[in-house]
Amino acid sequence: MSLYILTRRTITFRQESSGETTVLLVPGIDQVQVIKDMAGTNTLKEQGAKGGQRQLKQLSRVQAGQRYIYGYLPEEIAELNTSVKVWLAEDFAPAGTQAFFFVFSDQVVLHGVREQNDEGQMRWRTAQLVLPEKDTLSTIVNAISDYALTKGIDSLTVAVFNQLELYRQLQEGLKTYGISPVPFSKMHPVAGIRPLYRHYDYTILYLALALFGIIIFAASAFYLVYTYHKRNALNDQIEETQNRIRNIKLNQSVGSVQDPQAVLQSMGKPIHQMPSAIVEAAATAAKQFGDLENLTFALGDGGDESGNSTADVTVGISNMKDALLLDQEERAAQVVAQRPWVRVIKRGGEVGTSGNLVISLQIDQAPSATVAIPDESYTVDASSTEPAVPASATTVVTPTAEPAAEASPTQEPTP
Amino acid sequence: MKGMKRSSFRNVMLVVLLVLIGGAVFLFFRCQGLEDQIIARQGNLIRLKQELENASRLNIALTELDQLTINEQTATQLDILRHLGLQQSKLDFAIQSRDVRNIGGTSLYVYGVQVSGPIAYPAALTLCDRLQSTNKIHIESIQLQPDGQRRKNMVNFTLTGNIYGLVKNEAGANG
Repeated sequence: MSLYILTRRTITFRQESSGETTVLLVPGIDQVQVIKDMAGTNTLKEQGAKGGQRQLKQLSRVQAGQRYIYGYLPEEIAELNTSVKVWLAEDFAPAGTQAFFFVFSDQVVLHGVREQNDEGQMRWRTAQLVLPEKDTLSTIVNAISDYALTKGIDSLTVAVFNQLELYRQLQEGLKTYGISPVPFSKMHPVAGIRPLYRHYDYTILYLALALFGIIIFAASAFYLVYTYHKRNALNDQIEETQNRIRNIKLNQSVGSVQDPQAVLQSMGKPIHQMPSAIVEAAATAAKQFGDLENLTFALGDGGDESGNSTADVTVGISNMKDALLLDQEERAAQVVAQRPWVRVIKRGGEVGTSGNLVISLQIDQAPSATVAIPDESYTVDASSTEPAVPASATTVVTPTAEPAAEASPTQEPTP
Repeated sequence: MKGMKRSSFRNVMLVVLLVLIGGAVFLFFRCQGLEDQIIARQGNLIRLKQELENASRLNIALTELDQLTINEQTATQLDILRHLGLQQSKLDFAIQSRDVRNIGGTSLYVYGVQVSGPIAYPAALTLCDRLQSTNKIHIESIQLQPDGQRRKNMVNFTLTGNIYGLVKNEAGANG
């Protein structure tokens, strides 16, 4: 605890250490002012405004409806960074004490006596003793002993402040009179009395606020940098996209076409099957009936959207292998059973020893249908002389669950 | 700080705090302005990407249309044969019909063409596949008939289909 002793605006004793600072005020008796009409003004600002003192803080206290002004706080005390409390010296006198000697050093001794004034009020008269430079201890002991001999020791308090050697010497010197000094550190202000002035150490608070300010400033700066980079990245993306748009060279040849997609839609679409695969499949199937005379394949627009489109290939057959209509139908059933891609075989009119057949083939809906590469050795063989039986009706043969039992395995065209 | 007066320290700290908070508020409002710019730029970027996609689609469609059609103004029969890749073929080529379709203000010229002649059977199949793969001709029918002279592997081949033409700018024409 730091301790200052203030008399008539002069600091006569100071001992600095860490922690709270206690200032003991010893006002001169002629220095104390009593202002009755300022009893209700409690704030220092109001007191200073009425008292004409704005620069220095007033040290005052209200007692019994009267404000006692003991003086003004020196700037040195007011500017201390530590917590400060200013008390009157008699505030540390225990209750019931009529006199005290507070020994702070061999040169600084505060003495206070409680007495009754002219108005009958009990007041303290305090003063700092003026001690000679030599043999101060005996002077202090004599002063205390004189008071003890005249007033008695029951209501006398002697306290020594943080001076262990002085404390022992004083204890030894006062032992004769039955007076035992106490350490000043055990002395406390009387309960219920407020200090004349106090301020707190706001260093931690200020530093915490500064840290808070630094944090939010840093957060805002980080936020700014982040958004700045984000905006720049977007600017780069926009510039890149604009460059890509500028670099697109529209085809100038047909640039006058407003809606190229509509034009493309109106153009015919190919089927999703290579023509060679269809021709070869139809030719292979037709070869089972006789000599292939001709083959006509009419392509549509790629079939319907249901996925079950078929392509009709008309084949001309001469020299039919089977003379009877029943045998021709049985052969057609075998062909359909052996070739899943052949959906239907129809007579294209009257068929005897020769005639036209319509072979419906399944068309793959997949655009990536494989392209059939025909064998170079394939020939169109038109030499066959089997008898024919005229058939007047058109017969349709479709795939059945049970193909003909006597279906031959595969009958490919003659290479 | 040790030698600084209490009021000076308090004033310095208050000024520092005020500067920091003021700076933070200033930076925050700058950030809000940047956020507004970011939102506007994001919308702009979405619009530009859509525009880029549309331009790409349009360019692809125009390029495809240019490749699949002949130039109506300048195309000769040789140009059409070159268009189909038949300029060195010995097959006969004939234009059977000519039609005009108006599609959205664009005149699309449709030519009915016929390619015919004797050809080996495998070559006929290969030719059919190649013509269909190019998409430059819409095949309508294919007819194969054995050669009357019974030559081995030879067939009389007839292919009919449609080819399409557009009025193109000669400066930008590329085929």
